[in-house]
Amino acid sequence: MLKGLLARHRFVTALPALAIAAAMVVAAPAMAQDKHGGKVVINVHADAPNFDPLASTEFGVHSRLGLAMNRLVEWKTGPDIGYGQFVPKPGLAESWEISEDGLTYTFKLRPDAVWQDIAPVSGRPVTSADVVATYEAMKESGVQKGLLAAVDTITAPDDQTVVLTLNRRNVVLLQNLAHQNMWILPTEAFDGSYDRNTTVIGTGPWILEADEVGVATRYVRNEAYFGKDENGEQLPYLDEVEILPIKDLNARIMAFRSGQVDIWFGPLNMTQMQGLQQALPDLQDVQTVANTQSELYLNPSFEPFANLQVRQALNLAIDRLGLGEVVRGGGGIGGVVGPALNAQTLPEEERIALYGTPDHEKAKALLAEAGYPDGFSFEFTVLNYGEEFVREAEWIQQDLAEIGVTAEIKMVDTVAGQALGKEGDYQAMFLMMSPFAEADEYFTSHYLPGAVRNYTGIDDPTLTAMIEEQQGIMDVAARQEKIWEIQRYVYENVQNPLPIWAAVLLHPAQADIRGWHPMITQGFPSLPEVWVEE
Amino acid sequence: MIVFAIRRAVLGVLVLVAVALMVFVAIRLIPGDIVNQQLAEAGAVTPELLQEKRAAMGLDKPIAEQFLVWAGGIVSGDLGHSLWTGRPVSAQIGAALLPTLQLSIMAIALGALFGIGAGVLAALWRGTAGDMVLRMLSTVFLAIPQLWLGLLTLTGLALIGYYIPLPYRSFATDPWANFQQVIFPALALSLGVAAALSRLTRSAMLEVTGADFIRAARARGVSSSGLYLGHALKNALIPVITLLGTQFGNLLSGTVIIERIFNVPGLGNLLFEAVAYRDYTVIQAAVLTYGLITIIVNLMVDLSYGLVDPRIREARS
Repeated sequence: MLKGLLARHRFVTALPALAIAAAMVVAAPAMAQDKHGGKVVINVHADAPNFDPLASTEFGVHSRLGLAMNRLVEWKTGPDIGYGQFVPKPGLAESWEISEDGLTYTFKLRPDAVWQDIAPVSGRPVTSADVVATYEAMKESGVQKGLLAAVDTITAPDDQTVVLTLNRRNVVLLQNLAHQNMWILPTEAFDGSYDRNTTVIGTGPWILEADEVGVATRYVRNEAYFGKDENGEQLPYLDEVEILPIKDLNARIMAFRSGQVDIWFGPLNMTQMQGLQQALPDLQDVQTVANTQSELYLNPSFEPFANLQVRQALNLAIDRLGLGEVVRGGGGIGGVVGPALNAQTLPEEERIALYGTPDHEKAKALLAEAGYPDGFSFEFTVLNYGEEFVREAEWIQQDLAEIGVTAEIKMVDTVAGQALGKEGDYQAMFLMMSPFAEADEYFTSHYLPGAVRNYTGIDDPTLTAMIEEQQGIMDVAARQEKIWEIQRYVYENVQNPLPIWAAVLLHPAQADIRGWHPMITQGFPSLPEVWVEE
Repeated sequence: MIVFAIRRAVLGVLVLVAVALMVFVAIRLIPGDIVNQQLAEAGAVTPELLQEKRAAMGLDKPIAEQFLVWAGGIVSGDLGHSLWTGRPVSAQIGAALLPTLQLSIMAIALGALFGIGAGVLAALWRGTAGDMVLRMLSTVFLAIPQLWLGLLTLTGLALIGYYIPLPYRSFATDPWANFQQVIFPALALSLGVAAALSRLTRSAMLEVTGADFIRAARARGVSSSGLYLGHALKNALIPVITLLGTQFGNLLSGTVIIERIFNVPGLGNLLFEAVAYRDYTVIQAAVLTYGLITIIVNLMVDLSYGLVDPRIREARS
C-alpha cells in the first residue's frame, strides 16, 4: 500500500552528496572571542541507570561517563574527520609502541594526568596500576571482556608504563582500547574504597557534579584536566554541561525549539527536522549516515530459509534504494559492514550492485529452482524501533509479496525480540544492528559460532578462518582487501542476515554552538572543544 | 463504621496479594530480560557473561523460588534493589511518588471542579444552547485519549510561544517552575475526568431536582441557589463520588504516558522505563504502589458516603 501511494525515484545520484554530508559540519567563522566559559545543554533519550562502566553497555551510562573519564587511546575529532573514521589520538597514554610481531603493545602514560579531586582518590596522579586494575577487572567480569579477548597479560613495569601482551595478533586492539566502553578507573574503584555505581571519579574534562534520575546530569569544568587544544589553550572551553534525559520525542522537539537544548542527540526524522528548521532557521544541520543498519535475519531452522537460493531470491526482491528514499529520506544502502564505516564497507557502487539492484524475475526463478515456484508464507517478527523502522518492514513485506512470498508481520518490543533471536524462536526477524565502529565487530558478532548476534546459527569454518585471519593482518591495505573479501564471501555463500538500510542521522545544534562534531563512538569526544559564540 | 473500614482494608490487602502474584508471573512470561537489555549494544559479549549476570541477579532460579524471596522481602518491608540501577527500590519509588501524587491530586481536583461545575450548569441550563455545548464538550473530552490530549497541549503551548521550563524542579526547590511543569499535564489529565463527572452530575442533578423533597423545598421558598447547591447537589453527589474514585484509578494509569510526554520524573515514568528494561523488582513495586493508592482512594470514597448521606452512616453503624 505504501509503495502504491508513493513514487519511487532512484536517488543514486544523491548518495555521494549524503556521503559528503556524513563528514560535514557547519564551518565556524573565525572569531577573536575567548572560547572559554558558558554552558551547553544536550538532550539524550535515556537515563544512566548507574555509573559502573563494567556493568552494562548502555548508552545512558557511557555517553555520560565520556565527559568525566578518559580511555588509554581516544578518538580524534574535527571537521576533517568523518563520523565513522577512527583516527587514534593519545588519551591517558601519551604514546605507544607495537612490537614487530604485533604481540606486544607498550603504552607510556602522560605524566600530567591526575584524578579528579574527589575522595578517596583526591587528585592523585594516574599510574599504570590504575590501568592494570581496570583492564584486569574488565577481563574478569566486565562487559568489555570480549574486547580484551586477545590480551594475555597486562603488566606495569613502572608507574608510567603499561605493557599488554597478546595471545594472537589483533590489529583492532588499539581501536578496542578506544572503544566507547573502555574507560579507565582508579584502583580504588576495584578495592571497595568507593561505589562505582554511584560515584564517578575520572580524569576527564568535566567533573560530574550531580545526577538526578529523570531530571538532569550536571557537570562542571575540571580545572586539572590535561587536555589542550592545537594552540596550547586549556580544555575544555565550556564551564558547565548539562545532560537532560527527555524521553518523549515531542517533548525533545519542544525543548530544542525553545532554546532550552543546545545540542540534539537521539532519533529525529527528516520531517521533524524540517519542522525544527522552520522554527529555527539558523540551526546547524549536521547530518551523517547512521552507525546502525536494519537487517533481515532468516532462520535456517525454517525450511525455506535453509536454502541459499531462497535467501538470494529474497535479497533480489527488496528494493532498498526505493525504501531509503521513501521511508528514510536519506542514508546509505546496507552492507555486511555498515555504510557508516566508509573505509571498511564495500564501495557504494558495489553495494548497490549486490544489494540495491532488485530483479523480481530472477528472484522468482531462484525460488522455482529451490522448489518454491508458488512462493511460501512465513512469520515476520519486527522489533519496534519506531515508526520509520516499521515502515521499512512494511516495504519489505510488499516487495516480497511481488515474488509470491507472504510475510505476516508480528510486532514485538526490542528486548523481547533480542531474546527470541538468541533462542532462535523466529522464522524471519527484522531488527536494528548495534552501533559498531569496526568491521571486526560486525564479523565477530554476526558470523562466529556462538556469537551474541549470530541469531542464524552460522558455523562456516571458511568464514571463521577468514575472520580470524583479518584480525592478524598488520598491513592496512592488505587487511582492507581481506575485509572486502569477507564481505563478498558472505554475499555469495551466506546471505544471512540481509543488510537493508542505514538511515540518515540528524544532529542539529543551535546556531551559536561551535566546534561540535558528532562521532560514531559514545561519550561526546568532540565536546571539550565545543564553545558558545557570543 | 470501624468494622466496615477494617473489612474493606482486609479485602484491599487480599487484592494487593493477587495483584503482586499476577504481575510477578506476567512480566516473566514476556520474552527477554534485563541482561539482554544491559548488554544489547555490545558486539563483544560472550554467552557465558550473559549467564553469569543472570545468575548474579537470581534470574536463573525457578520462578516460585524467586517469588518467595521477593515476597519475604516485602513482608519484612524490603522492596529489594533495582536490577537496572542497583539502587534500593524503596528509594526510587519514594522519589517518584511525590511528583505523581502532586500531579494526580491536582488533576483530580481540577477534574472535580470542572466536571461538577459543568454538570450543575448543564442541569440548570437544561435544553438550552449552553447545555448542548457543555454536553458536546464532555463527549469530545471523553473520546480523546490522554496521550493525544497531552501532545496537543504541548504543541498548542509551542504555537503560542510558551515552553514549559526544563529541567524538572520539585515544589520545594522552585515552586513557580514546578507549577508551570505540573499544571499543564494536570490539565491534560483532568479533562477526561471532568467530562465523565459532568455527564453524571448533570443526570444526577436532573433526577434529584425532580424529586418530591426538592418541590417541597421550593414550596417553602428556598432560593434557587440554596435549592441547587444545598439540597440537589448534596443528594446528587453519591454517584459522583463513586465515579470520582474509579476515575482516580484511571487517572493514575494515565500518568504513565502523561509524565513521559511532560518529562515529569514520577511513578508513571519509572514504571514505563522499568517495563522497557524488564526491571522486575521496580515493576513489581511500582504496580503494588499503584494498587495501594487505588485501594486507599476507594476506601476513602466508601467512607465518604457516610459523610454525605446520614442514612448510609446509620446503616453502617
